Amino acid sequence: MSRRPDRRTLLGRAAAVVLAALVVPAGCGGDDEPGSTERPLTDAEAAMLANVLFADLDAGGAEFTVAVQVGTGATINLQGEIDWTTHRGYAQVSARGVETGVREVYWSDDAVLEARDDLAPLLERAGLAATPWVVRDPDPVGRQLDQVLAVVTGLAATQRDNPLLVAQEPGSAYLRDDTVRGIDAVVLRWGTRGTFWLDADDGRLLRFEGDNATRTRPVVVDLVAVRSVTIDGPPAELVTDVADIADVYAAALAT
Amino acid sequence: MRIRGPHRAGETCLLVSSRRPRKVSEKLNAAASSLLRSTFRGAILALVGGGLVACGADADDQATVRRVPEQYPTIQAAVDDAREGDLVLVGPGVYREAVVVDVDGLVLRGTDRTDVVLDGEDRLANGVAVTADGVAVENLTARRYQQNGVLFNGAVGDDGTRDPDAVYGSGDDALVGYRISHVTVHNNGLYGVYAFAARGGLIEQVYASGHPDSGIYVGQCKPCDVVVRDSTAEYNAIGYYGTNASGGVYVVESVFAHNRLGITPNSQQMELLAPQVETVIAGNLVVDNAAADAPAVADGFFGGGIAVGGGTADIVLRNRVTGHPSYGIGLVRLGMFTPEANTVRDNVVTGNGIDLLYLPDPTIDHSGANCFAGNTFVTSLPADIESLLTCPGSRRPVGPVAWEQAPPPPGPDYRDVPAPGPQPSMPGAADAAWTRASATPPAVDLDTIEVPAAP
Repeated sequence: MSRRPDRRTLLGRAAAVVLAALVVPAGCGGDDEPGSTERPLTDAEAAMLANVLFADLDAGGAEFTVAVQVGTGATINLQGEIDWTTHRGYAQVSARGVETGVREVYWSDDAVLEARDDLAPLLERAGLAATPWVVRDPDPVGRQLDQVLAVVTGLAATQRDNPLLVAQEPGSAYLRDDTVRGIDAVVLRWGTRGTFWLDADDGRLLRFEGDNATRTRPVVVDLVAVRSVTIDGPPAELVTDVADIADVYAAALAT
Repeated sequence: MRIRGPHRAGETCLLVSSRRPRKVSEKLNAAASSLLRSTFRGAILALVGGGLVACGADADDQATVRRVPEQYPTIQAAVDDAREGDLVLVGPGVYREAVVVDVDGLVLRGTDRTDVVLDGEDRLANGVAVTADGVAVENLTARRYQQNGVLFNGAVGDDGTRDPDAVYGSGDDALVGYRISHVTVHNNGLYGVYAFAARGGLIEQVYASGHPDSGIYVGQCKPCDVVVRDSTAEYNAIGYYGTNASGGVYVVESVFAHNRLGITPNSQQMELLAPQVETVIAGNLVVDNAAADAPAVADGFFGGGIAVGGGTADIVLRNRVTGHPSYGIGLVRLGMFTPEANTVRDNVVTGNGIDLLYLPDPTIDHSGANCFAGNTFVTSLPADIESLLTCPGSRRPVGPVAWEQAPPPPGPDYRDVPAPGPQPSMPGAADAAWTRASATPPAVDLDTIEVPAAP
């Protein structure tokens, strides 16, 4: 199977896979233990949660930042854009202790394109011409980076949820009021999916705190601006298929 | 039983039902017989008590007609002023409001089904959200709400709050008594008509289209004691959806066409009270539920007529089911639930990819006491299904059944599905007597139900 990233391969394949990644344990932020303000959701709050992912898709996309605490001293930070209508995204990557070779990433349901610090010597070692990008299959189980990308992509849905079931789901609760980037927010926990900071006025998603696809690492996604965005990947001639450098690429990851 | 509530000012009326239950002669399997006994009991109750309807304006009656917009500028203002048993009568107009009804026994009626429109403008939650007992919604249209056209919600306590430990929908911990009649619901964001944790309902003369989930949904109730009849659901993801809706559920003599899936009683863990048991699906016209121009539900189905998804002791009787590329009638697994003790009898099931399908959990190598008999069909999986899964149902060996659904095609945004044309209005709506919704729905006489004619 070719992994050349033409525009078609960057188009969506399996939204359900990405959405499934949003099933995350609650409480991973460490600051939403049952406290004095926690209480069951009101109907209006349940409706806000039920609507939020659909509203994201309606908006089209977002500018976002992501902060992930991977382990002791290890972090992944992203700053980028997501187009939820096509499941395409782009981000600049700043990582410490893990995924340290990646500087930028494009992704879709079908492919992940990496710009890596070590790509030029890898290609030279393989006897290939230099390109700034390498493309590979998504690996939401094995790659920490891909788990985070799946969470970002999963913050939108083609259908509203049922607020009665949201309210009834064990763990769903109002946690507290808060302020995000100067915006009044209500902080709600949705069952085991995670914690949502919603604009107190219009219900739009300001921040999501959950976990990665394998439920091992906390992820905080801030939607800095929710708006329509267009993500165009690099032209195919600037991309090398990882299959062409499989051995040296695997060795690079191992180090 | 006397039903409180006058009807027309200065007029008193007394109606006595002449309906008598017919002898039930069906000999189905044990589960089916149990359901039919329930039907018979219901019929007797209706004859003895439920058929007597008093509708007089006695001097001591407090019930009142409250007219919108003549007396109240909004429907909600009239409801807020209303007392138990009142009629809120709504004249023609477009009402951009989300009405909440928490008054027992209220009747909310439009004078014209087509011209009395509740419009959510894709920003309001529910057209009518009912949390009180005995409420009826009649003769109006509810469109473009973010959630539901009309919602009957029993998952709330008497004080208006939700107990996180309650098992809503079980026994009396439910909304009791509801009726919806001559109502059009379309282009709402979840369901057209939604009865959740509600018992004792009548859903009739409903038209539902353009919903990305189901046109009519009855969920999380045990017993439900609800009758869905004389209704039509088209161009929805699913026509009728009954998750964990158990006991005394009758979906009869209705039309489910051009949805992605016609009818599906089913068991799911996402709601309480699983597994689903005891639904009767009888005398329905279920055709061409393979509409790519119907909105798609997430994790969707496509091209199925009637799917009993992990249900138990359901009866599928004398329906006409045709035009489904996946299957006509299927007793199929759903999640962790496998179908058990269901009866599929005397249906006309032709022109489908597979007419009759039994698809249990892969670990099941027997019939699960499910049975098929007397159906008119051509294809089945397993082959010769009526010889393998005979009625009455018993545990018979069945080899592995392999079937995979093709990926469903994408669907349109539910907001873009064309609105339906005018539907028949309630006769004499402006002047007709009114009565609160009974907790006991009318009896369904299965003996009188026939396979509907081909369209």
